[in-house]
Amino acid sequence: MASFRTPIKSGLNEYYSKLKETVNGLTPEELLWQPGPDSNHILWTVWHMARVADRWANSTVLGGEELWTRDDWATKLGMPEDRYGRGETPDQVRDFPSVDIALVLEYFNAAQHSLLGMIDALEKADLERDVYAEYRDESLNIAWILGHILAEESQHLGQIAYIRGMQRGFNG
Amino acid sequence: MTEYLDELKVKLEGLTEDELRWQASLDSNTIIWLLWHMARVEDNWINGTIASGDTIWDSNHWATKTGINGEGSGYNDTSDAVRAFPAVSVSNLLDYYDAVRNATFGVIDGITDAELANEFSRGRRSVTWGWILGHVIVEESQHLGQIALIRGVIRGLNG
Repeated sequence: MASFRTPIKSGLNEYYSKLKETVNGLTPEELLWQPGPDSNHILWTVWHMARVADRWANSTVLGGEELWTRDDWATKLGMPEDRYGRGETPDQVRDFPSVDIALVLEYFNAAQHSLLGMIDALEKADLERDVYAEYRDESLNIAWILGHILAEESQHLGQIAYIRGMQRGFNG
Repeated sequence: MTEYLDELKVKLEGLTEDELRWQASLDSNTIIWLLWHMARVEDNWINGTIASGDTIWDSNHWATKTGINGEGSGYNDTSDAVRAFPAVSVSNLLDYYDAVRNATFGVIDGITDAELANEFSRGRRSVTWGWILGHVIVEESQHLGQIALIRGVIRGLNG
């Protein structure tokens, strides 16, 4: 096994299992609570994290269709097919549909599974390769993408943990 | 790692002393505390644990330079400890973080593929160097996300 995969996959598993722990037991009100008028809420952030995993793995790196549309997750969650979360306004976050977090996590599970599969399919030489990310209109290096996924998803996890802490206090 | 440190510097830009020490709730960490903790975490894992040497904090006397108690890294600090965190400037802490980063990349460049399986025991649990490298990115990025969130709560979108 190519060694670059070890720290990346370990990091992916770490933030994903910590995410599940951190959202455990939250009420619908806690999931939709915004610490400031412009702040994202937990439910939106979890959904966006799943979209991020799906897009990087299935569309940007593998050049295929996202699970969001391929497996009808947009329909199942009652959201538009082009909804992704990047650059959304505070109003869009507030109006986010009150979907069941279990369903969002089911989508995330599928996306995470495909992300780990994408990394297993990469060889060391692929790290030097560039791929074109249509929604960002830029070419990005695959090694950069792997580091970025860890950094971006973990930032969002940190936000979720912090918002939980604001509502429930230390160890809450 | 370059990504989160660069982004951290952007997020700290222009914050006032009050904003740096603002607590979103009674049990919440402040931005200045998080910044210090992030630098200590990277220093401890990479220079302390993997390079099994002195941390930059110890060898370059950063406790004295910053006026912060030398012992802890912030792990398990109480809410009172966060509130009582000494007055220290962002630029002073970023100087420390830059020094840590400089050493960090030297250590990482020296790690061979086989060494990723090296084990380190911490209490009852044992982790590999491969785990540590992934963990550092995941932990530090979580804290960066928190700093960005606090800034957003205080200043609003694009503030």
